[in-house]
Amino acid sequence: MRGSEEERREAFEAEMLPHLRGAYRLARALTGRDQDAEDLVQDTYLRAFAGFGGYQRNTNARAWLLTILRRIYLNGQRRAHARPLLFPLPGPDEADEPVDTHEPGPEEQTLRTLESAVVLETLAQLRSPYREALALVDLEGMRYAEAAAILGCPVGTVMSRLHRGRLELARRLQNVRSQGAAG
Amino acid sequence: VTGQSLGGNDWCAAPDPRLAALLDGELPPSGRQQLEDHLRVCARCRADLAQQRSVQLLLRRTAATSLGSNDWCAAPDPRLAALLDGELAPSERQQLEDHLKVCARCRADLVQQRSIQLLLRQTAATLTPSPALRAKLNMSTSRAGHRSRRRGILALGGLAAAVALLALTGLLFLASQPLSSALLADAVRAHQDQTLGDAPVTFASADSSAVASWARQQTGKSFDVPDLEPVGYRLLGARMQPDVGLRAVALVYEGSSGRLTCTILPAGAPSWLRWPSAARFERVHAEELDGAGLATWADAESAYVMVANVRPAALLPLARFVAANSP
Repeated sequence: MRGSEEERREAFEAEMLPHLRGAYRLARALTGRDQDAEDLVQDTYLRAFAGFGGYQRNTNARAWLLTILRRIYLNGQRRAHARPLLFPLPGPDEADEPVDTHEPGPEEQTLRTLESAVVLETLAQLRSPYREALALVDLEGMRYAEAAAILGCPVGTVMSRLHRGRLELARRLQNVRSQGAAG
Repeated sequence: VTGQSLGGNDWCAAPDPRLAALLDGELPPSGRQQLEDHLRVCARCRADLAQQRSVQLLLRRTAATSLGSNDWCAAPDPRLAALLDGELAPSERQQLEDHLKVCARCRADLVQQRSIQLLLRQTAATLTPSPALRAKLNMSTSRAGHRSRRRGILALGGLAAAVALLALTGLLFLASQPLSSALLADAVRAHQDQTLGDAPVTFASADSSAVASWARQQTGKSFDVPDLEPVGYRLLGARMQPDVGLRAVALVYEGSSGRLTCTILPAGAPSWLRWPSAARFERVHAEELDGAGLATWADAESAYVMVANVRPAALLPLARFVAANSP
């Protein structure tokens, strides 16, 4: 009995601990705070360990783990009514406004040099669907199909969320930069 | 434009109809050479060729944008994200790349998407969990394994008590949250293993403000350390209780009935999020769990789990006293 329990723990650690950093990255993007991210990761590993019997070994451990993490996060958000959708997407008029440059100008160059903390803080202000898509694809480097499986949505939805999420993040970062320059 | 109106012998009477084929690369080499020689001396045919090229470009732009003659889409194509990520099928990719040649707005959109993608990739490289987290995870899974073994050993009475507790407190949703019921079991186990052991605290002090200061240093959260002297319990000190919650602090008291543990879980942690809102959980509830008395309640700042080896009926007044005197 004891031996099988140890084997289970070892198997769990072998499959799941390699994805600790990925889990942390997603948690950090979702919660926006280091400590909350670590709390969320710890809860995720506890839950994953409890449900490890239902995991088919040597399949997609990362997707399985991150699905659990996301579910815990969303359940927590729902129960606590913690964070409403703070920022609406730009309206149709704003979205239709033409962009007047097509080469990386000074603003884009500046965007690339923003500190990670600012980027993460701004990312955390996006609506959940966009934040999740950006975290899975851009932070975690997932393919659309894998992200879609975790998010429980079609691949095309991942694509459109990414598209709008990136543009929204760019807009917010430009605002941050403008405010910084003005202050 | 006619040869007559432009005058001179260098003009054809009518432009050569093969100019269209020349433009489209459809002439055989011999015919192409002949026509190119002619173009050197015939201004009218050169003008005709330039006009045909302009029309061809315009028609291609129109076909690519499907939006008329301007260079801007009404809204950028969301497939640009997939193009950037290499997720488009070759046929779609070609179509979109053709479109990009004539649509400045989509080009701008693509540049912006690429900037954000690069920025997030750079950010990802900086995100690393603290070294302590791995150690905590090892400990957590170890304890979880320990817990599952204990559950196997425990008689159904323990489970029944837990279910009864959940039902009595109106927190039936916790039944679908094994970690939350596990959290209560962990709090009881910590009381029995640590509070009743030889080293019940890591910070020993009877001064509630000193203990509060220590807890604040450990967790980054403000704690109010309840004073139980009026009800016969003196403060021994505190310890962190990471297996209950990463920022959980266990306060230890001693009284005539033995030691008492009051574990405080600050709001904000995911374990806190699994508790109901303060409005639904402001009443104090007490029950027996794993042979100990256990009381639970919450306020806007924290959730509280009080454990002592006394009957729930004896624990309830203590818990109510703390709840009533919390700020």
